[in-house]
Amino acid sequence: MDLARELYYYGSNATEIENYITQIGKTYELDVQIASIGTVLYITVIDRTGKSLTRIERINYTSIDFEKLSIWESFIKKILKEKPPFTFIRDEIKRIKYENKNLVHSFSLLIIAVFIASFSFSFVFKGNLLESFISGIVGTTVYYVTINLKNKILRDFIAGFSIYSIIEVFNLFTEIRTYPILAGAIMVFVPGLLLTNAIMEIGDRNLVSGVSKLVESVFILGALVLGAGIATAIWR
Amino acid sequence: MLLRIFFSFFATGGFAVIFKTPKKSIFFAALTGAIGWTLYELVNLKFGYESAIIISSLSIGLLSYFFSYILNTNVHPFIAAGIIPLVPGAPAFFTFQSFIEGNLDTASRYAYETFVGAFGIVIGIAISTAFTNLWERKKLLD
Repeated sequence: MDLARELYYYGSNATEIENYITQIGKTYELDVQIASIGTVLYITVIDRTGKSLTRIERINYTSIDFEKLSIWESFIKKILKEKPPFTFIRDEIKRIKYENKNLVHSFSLLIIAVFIASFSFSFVFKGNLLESFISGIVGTTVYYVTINLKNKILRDFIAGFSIYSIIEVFNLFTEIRTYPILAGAIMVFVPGLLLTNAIMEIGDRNLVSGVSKLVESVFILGALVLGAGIATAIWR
Repeated sequence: MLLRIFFSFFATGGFAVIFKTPKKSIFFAALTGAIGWTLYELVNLKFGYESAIIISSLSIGLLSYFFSYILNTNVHPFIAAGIIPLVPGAPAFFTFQSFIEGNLDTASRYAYETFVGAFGIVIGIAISTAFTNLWERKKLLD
């Protein structure tokens, strides 16, 4: 359950989690049934004597971190290859959790990356240098302000509203086009991973999990657009 | 166009950093996005938006699986960052804005773009996933 939870938390999709845990079960000659549905993990383990143990766990939010995800995946691959004793696995899980807690990513690097992404996307959407620069500033500012909001729908609604409002403030002082600035700045808030995970899960016939993620990503995108749309109506 | 392709590399790279991608994968994630965007631009010129979205998302999916296989890592850092430039966030907004302003013709044009963009990504990624699953199954049988 610890392994499944960590994989889910850092951005893995349902099919991968289920495959990894089932393979670990097979390695130790255990019959493992797992379902990762929406925000809930269900695991049943049946041992050789037929005794079964079922656990259910709800995961309320996730934090995308591919570096930590790859650490957990390397550990799982090691388990599958070497079949270490359970005590070793338990100790390793504790150790990796502790190390991951201390693995803090540079906040300034994150902010620079947000600026580069917004700036570059504005260029991609045919903005000029000034518009791209404003897009970078707007995207970074709104990202910084909303970073601690855990509710993704609320966060994207506020982000959409703020982005459009700040662009309109810039518009008061200089002649700029809204489209490339807005397109660059809102890209940072688009639920890209959720969307791709949803598509991949539906493709793997993990329908309940995939559709729930697809609906969530549509709602998040809708909140972003609605926030910006309401700001449009106000500024009009 | 070259400038846009150049900046699509940095835009995708920026996203890879935001997703806290391992350092060794950042360059390849950015490359996935840039190649996908290049195909989008080229196909869009010749065959239109619909084909461009499907072909570029298919190429992003296949490239992501290819890089994840070569680097022996997860496919997510490549596919999640690479697909972002194609997500129709801006057209979705302009659909809504045009509806508010009462420009129904413009709104329906943007709505069509949003719909095709979203489902084009779904189709492209689904095809690439199906291809990869087939290839993996064939490898297992061999």
